[in-house]
Amino acid sequence: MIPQLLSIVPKTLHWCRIGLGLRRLKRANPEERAHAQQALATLLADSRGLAMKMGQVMAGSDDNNAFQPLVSSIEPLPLSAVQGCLENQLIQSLRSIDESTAAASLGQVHHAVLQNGADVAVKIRYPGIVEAVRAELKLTGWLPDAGPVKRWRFNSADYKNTLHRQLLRETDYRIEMQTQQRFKERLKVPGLHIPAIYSDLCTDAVLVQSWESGCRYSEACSWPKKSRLEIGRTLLMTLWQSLFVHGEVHGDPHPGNYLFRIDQQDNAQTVLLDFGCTVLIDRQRRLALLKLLDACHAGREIDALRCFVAMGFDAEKLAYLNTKMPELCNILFRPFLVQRPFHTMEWRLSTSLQASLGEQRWWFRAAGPADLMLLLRAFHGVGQQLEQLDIALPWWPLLRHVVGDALLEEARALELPAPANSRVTGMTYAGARRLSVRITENGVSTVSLDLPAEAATDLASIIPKPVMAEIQTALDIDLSGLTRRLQQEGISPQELFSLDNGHKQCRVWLE
Amino acid sequence: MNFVISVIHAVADPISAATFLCNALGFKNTCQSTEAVIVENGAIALRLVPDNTARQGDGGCLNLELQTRNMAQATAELLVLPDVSLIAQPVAVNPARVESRLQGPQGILITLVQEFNEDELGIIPPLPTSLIWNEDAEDCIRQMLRLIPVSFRESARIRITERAEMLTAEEAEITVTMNFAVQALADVTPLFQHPMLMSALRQRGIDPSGYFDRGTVS
Ligand SMILES: Nc1ncnc2c1ncn2[C@@H]1O[C@H](COP(=O)(O)OP(=O)(O)OP(=O)(O)O)[C@@H](O)[C@H]1O
Repeated sequence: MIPQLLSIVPKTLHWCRIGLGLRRLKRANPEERAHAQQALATLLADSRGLAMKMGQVMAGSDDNNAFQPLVSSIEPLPLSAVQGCLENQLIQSLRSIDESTAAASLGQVHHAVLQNGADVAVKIRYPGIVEAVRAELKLTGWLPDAGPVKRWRFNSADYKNTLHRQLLRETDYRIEMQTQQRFKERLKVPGLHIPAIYSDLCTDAVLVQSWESGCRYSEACSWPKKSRLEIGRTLLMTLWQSLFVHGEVHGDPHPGNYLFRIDQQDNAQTVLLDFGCTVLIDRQRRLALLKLLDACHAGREIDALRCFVAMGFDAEKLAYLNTKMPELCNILFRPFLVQRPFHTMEWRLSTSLQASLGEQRWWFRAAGPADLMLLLRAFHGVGQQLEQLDIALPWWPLLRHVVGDALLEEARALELPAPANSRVTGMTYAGARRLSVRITENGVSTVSLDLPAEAATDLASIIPKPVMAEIQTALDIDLSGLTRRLQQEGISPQELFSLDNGHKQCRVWLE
Repeated sequence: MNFVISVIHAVADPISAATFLCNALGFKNTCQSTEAVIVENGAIALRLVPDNTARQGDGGCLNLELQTRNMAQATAELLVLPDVSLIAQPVAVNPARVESRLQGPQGILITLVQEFNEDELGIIPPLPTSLIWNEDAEDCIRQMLRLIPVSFRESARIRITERAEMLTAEEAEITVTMNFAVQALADVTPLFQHPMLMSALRQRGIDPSGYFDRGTVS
């Protein structure tokens, strides 16, 4: 019930955000404005739109479609409508430029030929889109601090800041240009190709890079096994090298951002596109993850909770899952733990998390900083892509190869921060920290939940409706009265109510 | 508390059924009363209960599967017993399994089964690979596996293949070469088999020195 509720939040939000965003779009001329509106709406409505993605990340990566190719895309504008964005220097360097066939999220891509004969891809930002985005960002409180977001105490400010930063970065193609150059310079992965940038022709509104040929993901999935294995290896090694060695990960690894081709040596080449959104993970955090992975792989004992905290997780929220840590690590890191090639079909991350943690998996999500949740999705996304390629690869030895002995030693030697003395901080509700709900039917436990105490003001959505109805009839409870009382008097430790009608026992208390 | 798997079989004459099971099929009579005779053979316990409505020779109530290494001989031995008749000649249900059916006394049906291992079938099964294998590497491992006792071979096949693929990935490769394959063979097989494997490798023109000094991987 709670997951369903959570997944509604981003959708509702996204509609009111688009509505508001559009009202503020006043400056551009009518045609441009209409197109920018449409582009923005598509961006936000599409699962790949950053805003939606944030909502989905919060709501959980149960949504397996998040990395599917764009289902609906807007039509690119005719060249005549965007050529005003091209600077003289670029125009003079071009021998020819084609109409665009690829609408991107905040712009569109044209194939062009330079005077020197080089084929290039020119990404041109939509006129009016910057204003649209700015208007969008002025909206405050895009996630209401109420309902489920509040119940699990999601750090919505963190999500909001991450969103804002990313959207702003995406509107300036010079930032994307620098990121792409950085990735091209740093990443040394077999089979990986990153298009070269023509930096002297780039501006904040135009990105010029080498034109790359290649087929889409769906086609590559039907290639011979050797090529599919090569692609899989490239995807995995790219993720690990960017994460563990360089600390900056491509934040949008959906299939539309790859092109695939076979080189002259008959090896599969993966072209990685779109460096508009990256996730930065500092050294301490990534070493903590590596330390944890290494210990889990070797079966060594480790304080997983402290590793997660060193990665930026909220210690207080994770403490609820302390006893489940070994199981949680087993699920999350499963591909690294098996001593054989792993087929990601075996992973079933969401299902296993749900089976093992139940509703409490939300503690894990809510405890995680926004950027790490994006990272988890990047892992999950690559996992899905490997599944579609229908290949099994040995994860741990490939990871070891990527990180090398020195980094692994550094991770092993990493001192984890001492556990915080007082787990309870910022208690605003007159004492109670936890709301506990236990429902047993015919001796079988049907609900066993521990939630932040604040959830006591939202009992209606926690306790299954039929049970609530029974409780209300049996005990004559006025739920809204109870909520009001808690809001007025503060959420202090107390028994809220209990019911025992022989076959069903229900107890709800604050402690 | 211990539980054993027990099959209840209603027969017209429990004592004669028990006698057949003990004399012909190696069961032991462990308990006998007017209510039941219990026989067992270490794997299964049969509780034979009297039932006057069960007709002598009524087929199909209790179907026992007997494994044999020699179908013809086992069939002949069973057929000399009183009250045993052949009801279906041996047929191959698949290339690795032949079955015949015989009717015993007191509703006891016997399925005689002979299974053939890969040596008897003269096949060398493929390796359960996930990566790409060089032909010579795969062929070498398949041949070497024939030297491993057949009952250990299937698990050896899986472990050697997985190990070779892990070693390959350590070098960020996706093609298993002879080098990784032989190293996996050495890592996975028990020490006492090493001399035999080393000489077999030498016969194939592969120098095993350097591979077999790491001990085994558990
Ligand atoms: N160097 C290139 N060579 C060939 N085609 C390219 C190149 N760069 C981009 N494209 C095409 O343009 C499309 C959109 O480009 P890109 O992904 O960079 O834009 P974006 O604004 O980040 O879009 P999105 O967010 O939808 O991924 C790509 O899917 C691809 O078809």
